Amino acid sequence: MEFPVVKKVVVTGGKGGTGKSVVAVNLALALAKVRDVILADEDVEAPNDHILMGLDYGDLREREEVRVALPFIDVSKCVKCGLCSRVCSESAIVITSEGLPLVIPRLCSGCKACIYACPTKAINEGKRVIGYTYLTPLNIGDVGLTLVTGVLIEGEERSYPVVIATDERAKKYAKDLLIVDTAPGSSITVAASINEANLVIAVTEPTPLGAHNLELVLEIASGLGIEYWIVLNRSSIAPSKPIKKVLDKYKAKLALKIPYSMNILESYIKREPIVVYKPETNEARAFFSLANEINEVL
Amino acid sequence: MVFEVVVASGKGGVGKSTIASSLAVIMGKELSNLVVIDADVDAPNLHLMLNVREWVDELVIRSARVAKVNADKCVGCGLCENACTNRAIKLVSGKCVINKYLCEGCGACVLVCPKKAIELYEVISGIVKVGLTEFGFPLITASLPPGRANTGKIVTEERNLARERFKGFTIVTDAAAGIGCQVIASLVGADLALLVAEPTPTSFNDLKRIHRLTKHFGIPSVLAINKYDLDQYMTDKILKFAEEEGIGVLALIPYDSNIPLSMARPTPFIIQYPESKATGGLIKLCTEILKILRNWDSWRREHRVKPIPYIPKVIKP
Amino acid sequence: MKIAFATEGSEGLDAVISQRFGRARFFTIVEVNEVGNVINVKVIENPGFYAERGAGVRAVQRLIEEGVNVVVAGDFGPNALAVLRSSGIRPVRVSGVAVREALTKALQA
Repeated sequence: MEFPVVKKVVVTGGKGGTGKSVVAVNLALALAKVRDVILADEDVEAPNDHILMGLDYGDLREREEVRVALPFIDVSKCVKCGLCSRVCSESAIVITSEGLPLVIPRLCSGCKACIYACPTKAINEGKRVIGYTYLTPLNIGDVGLTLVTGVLIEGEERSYPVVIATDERAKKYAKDLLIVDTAPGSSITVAASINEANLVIAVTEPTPLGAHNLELVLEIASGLGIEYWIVLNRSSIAPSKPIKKVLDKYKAKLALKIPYSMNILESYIKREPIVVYKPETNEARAFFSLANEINEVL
Repeated sequence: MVFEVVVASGKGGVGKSTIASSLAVIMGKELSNLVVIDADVDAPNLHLMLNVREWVDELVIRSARVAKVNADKCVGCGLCENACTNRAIKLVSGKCVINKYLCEGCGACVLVCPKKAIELYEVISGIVKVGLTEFGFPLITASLPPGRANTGKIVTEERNLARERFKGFTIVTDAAAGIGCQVIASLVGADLALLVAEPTPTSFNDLKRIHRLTKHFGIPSVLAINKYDLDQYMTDKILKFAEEEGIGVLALIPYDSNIPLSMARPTPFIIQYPESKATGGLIKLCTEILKILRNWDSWRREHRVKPIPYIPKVIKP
Repeated sequence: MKIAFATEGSEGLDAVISQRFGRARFFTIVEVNEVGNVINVKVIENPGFYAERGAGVRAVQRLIEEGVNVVVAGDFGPNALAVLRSSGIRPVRVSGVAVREALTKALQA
């Protein structure tokens, strides 16, 4: 029996506010007309894709907890060697005046180094919930797709495990095409989303900052050996010279230019994705043509 | 007296940096001892907006660690791959390979390797720079090499440097987007949070999240709504939320198409366009902040926020 | 009894107390006898100043090792407070004045 190979397209952007989520949502919906699409919102600190499609947080379905390991000290076995506190890279284990280890759950990253290090196996593995993933089948207009959303609980510091959990849940559920909307920036959580992608769509804007952030993202993509196309959003607000330099340096393809558009702004505020609600506009047509290109390549 | 105001928003792209740079320029005229921190280490832009004339200092931070496998000693047992919670290790052609973009240096793999084939080595976690802006006040900024963990460490270094180098100065900090550790590192110990929102459902959603975070740390918040005339209905919803939560609304700034245009040049918006639509609103915002600063002791007492402890959800083994 | 003051400087009794506990540069540890006379003043670096995460926790760890009973700073983060409570070290909130002046208040606590 042949298992379908899932293709992963990652929409990222470096600078916040370049329109990454708008591109991801419209691209996913455009592709969903011809393919089986999962959209994974991996911007877990501020997930917005559901909002852009007119949903509220309460509409998200099938909640699953994201858990990381949490050490529990068994004082009957502890020999007070202090090794657990020393190997902890997060300062999450303190040695009290009695010499016993005290775990601070909020700082623990769940790496289990302490559990591996303990010479008397005095540390047991409990769990801590740091976030949630949701799986919501959707119909927007007449387009059907499934949205997987990752959410970090406010007050938690590390979004990485929630990004991984979202990515894995989306991959498990996907049968054909997986579109990922990443967090802004170019840090490790973005790298985790980009990992093992077939194609990176980098959304940027024609400002020096947009260009700088684009470069950082392309560093990661090229470091991981993944192909990248560029989408230049709000292309009309400034000359694209700084972007051209980056495109030349990385030999990147400029797949789409979207001028500053009141149509897109309106669809953003009304939460009505333009490819579904105003498919005859130039902007929607641009998304369709990009979707076609992706459909052919993958 | 050290006073630190942090500009945060939860969501990116709402105008945080435009507001932070305007605040810096106006406060810089009134105060002789201002220092600005760009804590958006993933995408710093204040050095561009505030036109840094010269860089006076640089601090390379090497506190991060990354693990590496010694291929000669590796027997391909894969125990490290199982132990890695970051999915950073893969078995490739019989040897374990660590992806440097995904490793945070926790050391679990080092502990489980039966052949002691893995070692941790220091990498540059970021670079902190001190520059002198054309407006006479210093700017502390930083950058991360791509793929590095965005812990609050670099932000903390920036804030430490500000307090050490510029003792007693007033501090304006431009935080990153989001609510994770890089934002938490900007908020801890700050005096005032200036929250920025735009009247979109996404921004409102993120505003609630960042506000909950400030409550967790017991930091009083004030609010500026940017591009408020894009959607009066949404603006009204946000105003209602602010009233319910006791967040003082300092300014409503109208949408101004000159703002995105101004980002292409290294000068703050209010200098480039002193007569533009949004300029008045920005100046009013800054005046209100200065008022709070001047009456800080009494304002703080009136707006005291009791820190709400964050209780992690824990499951026993 | 040992009282640790979070300070930005290392001037000892004249150092000004820091607003923040976890990220203070130094701890000025003052040892007093039963009648409240100062018998020793020691200044140590705060490991939390350099910590990547959990600054307050590292600071408390160091103070535990020093056998401190009371700690004075402007404010304490949530993690530090939790650990201080578990370790029986009493937090006292004072800032903006020199150690010398705050000593009386700390002794009363």
